Amino acid sequence: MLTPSNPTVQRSRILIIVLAFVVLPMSIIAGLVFGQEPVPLSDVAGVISSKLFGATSNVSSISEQIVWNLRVPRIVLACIVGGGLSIVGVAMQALIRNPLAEPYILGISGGASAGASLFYLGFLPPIISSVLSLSVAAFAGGLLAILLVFFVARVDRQISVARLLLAGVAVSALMGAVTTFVTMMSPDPNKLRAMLFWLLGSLNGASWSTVVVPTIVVGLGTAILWILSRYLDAILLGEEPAFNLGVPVEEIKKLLIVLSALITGILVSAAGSIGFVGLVVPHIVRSFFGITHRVLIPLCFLVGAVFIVLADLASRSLLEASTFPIGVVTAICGVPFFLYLLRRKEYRFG
Amino acid sequence: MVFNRTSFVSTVVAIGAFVLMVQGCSKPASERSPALFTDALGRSVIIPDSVRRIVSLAPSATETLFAAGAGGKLVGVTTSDDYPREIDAVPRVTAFPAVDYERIVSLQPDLILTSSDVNGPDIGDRMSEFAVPVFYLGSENLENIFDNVRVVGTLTGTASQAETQARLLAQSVVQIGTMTSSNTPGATPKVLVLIGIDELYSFGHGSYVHEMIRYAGGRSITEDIPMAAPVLSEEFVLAQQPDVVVVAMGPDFSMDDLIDSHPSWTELPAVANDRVYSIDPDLILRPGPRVVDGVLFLATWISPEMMSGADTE
Repeated sequence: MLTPSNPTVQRSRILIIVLAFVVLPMSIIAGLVFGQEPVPLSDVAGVISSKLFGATSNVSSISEQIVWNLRVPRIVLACIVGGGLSIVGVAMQALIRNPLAEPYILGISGGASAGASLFYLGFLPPIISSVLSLSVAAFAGGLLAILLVFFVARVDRQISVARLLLAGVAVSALMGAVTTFVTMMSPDPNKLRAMLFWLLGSLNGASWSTVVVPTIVVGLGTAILWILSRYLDAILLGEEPAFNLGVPVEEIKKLLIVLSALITGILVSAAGSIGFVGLVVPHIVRSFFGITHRVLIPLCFLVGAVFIVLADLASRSLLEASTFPIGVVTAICGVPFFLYLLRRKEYRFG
Repeated sequence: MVFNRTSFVSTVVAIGAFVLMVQGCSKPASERSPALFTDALGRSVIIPDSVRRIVSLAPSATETLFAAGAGGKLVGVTTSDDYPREIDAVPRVTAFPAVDYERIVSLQPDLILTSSDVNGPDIGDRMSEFAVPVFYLGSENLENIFDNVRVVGTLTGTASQAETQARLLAQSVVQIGTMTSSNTPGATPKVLVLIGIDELYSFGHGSYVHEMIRYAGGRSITEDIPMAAPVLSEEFVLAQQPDVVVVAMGPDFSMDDLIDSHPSWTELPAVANDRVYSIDPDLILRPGPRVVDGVLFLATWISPEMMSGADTE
């Protein structure tokens, strides 16, 4: 176990501070300044200072609406999605003690998309409110997918990595087929276009009303994981050693499964399925700062937030007068990483 | 048979007159108090008393606006818009696949017109934060499409001009229908309308396209398929033996491509009798005023006797 005086922990403390107070704010400022419509930096500053600090500003109402009602919620959602997906990656990798686990690869995102599309296209009845029902349906789909994958991959209380990845591929394909089928059979073809873009991932739907639920869920989920840091460290040693150390292994594993499905479901219903974030971010952070979850979790959250804020900025500003799905950016960054991890002789952390 | 060339000509003249009027400028807006309207999605939308700046998020909505005499109020149209010519100078907004909300906000519209066919249902909620009303136009049937002209005229303060146009559109179609219905004593020609030829996308139950075909004197073979946007099987088409095939691909269509993709179709009556046509997709896929032109084209292909009727009888 690492002790607080360990230089790695010192180093990571500094990095957390740098990320939280320098890199993330700079990414956010870039996200606020650049976009489809040009808004001068001074206007952005005026809007933010008037909204946050009550300063009087003479910024045009157009700039104010673009910055405050479009870009700010979008960036908040980007931080939540990036941080949340990275945390889910950490949770799943601890769960199966392997750095290849990721919600997109293991079919959770696919399951959540299938659940969400079943609801969105009118095949499931609404409960409570439509926004909540969409999230619940996505959660249920994600949970079903992860349970199915684990059921297949688990042999004699051991998770086989090959089986896990293959089961993930198969379940992703199945969930993709469900989504395609309900999309084709939809009684309401008018929603199809909206669906297609959403399935590939997009933060275009972000508004003040849609960021509330994801923020709460991801915030709580991250806090819970952080509180469980020591248990997660112990589980990485192996389930039996962890159990002997007094860790309630079975309960923690169930919690990790539900938490992963919940966060993934909420994020898929808010922003579509965005892949490979949970793979790339924890891997980079671990390779620099080891595997202690107490520093891994906040660092992954911050790096993930920066990654998605920048990926979203790329997806909406690289093409003239058009946007492309953010999943394209994350896949281009993520797939080489995944292949590299697969190519290594041993699947080990670090 | 009650048919003569004069009625055909008068229809063409009426449509020509309509096109001219569509391209004419709008009259000054008559004032109206803010009022509640129900759109195609069943939403209640409060429209301000005088609408001056309109953004259209669907080409069909743009064309409907011009038919209603309010095209001059457009301050934004989609990147897919290409008709009428007046929109060349109007700023463009990306509407598919993702709506460029930043651009819309910067154009400061006081009304956004959308189509329930092409625009996602979330635009209304999204723009409510900016206090801009969003009105969805539907396309349940041809009557709905023509009524949209009337509704848009009421929203924008050009009600009387729009009323005239809506009535003219409806009358033109009925007139074509009268001409084509009387000259087919035997079997009504079976018609297949395709949107693509590699994948056989077509229209299923509830589409106004079947109605266009009926007015043109045919019967659509896909009108009973329960799905709204079916992908047909080759076998279905062979079993149905359509007499006329209309492909909505405009000048991009090639008969050789069709036969390359579906060699078994050489035996179809439509192919054997050389009755495969390609229509400008905008005249059939856009639920706007130009569906009347679409019906006219369909009628000349499905009921060609209508053209020669006056000579032979």
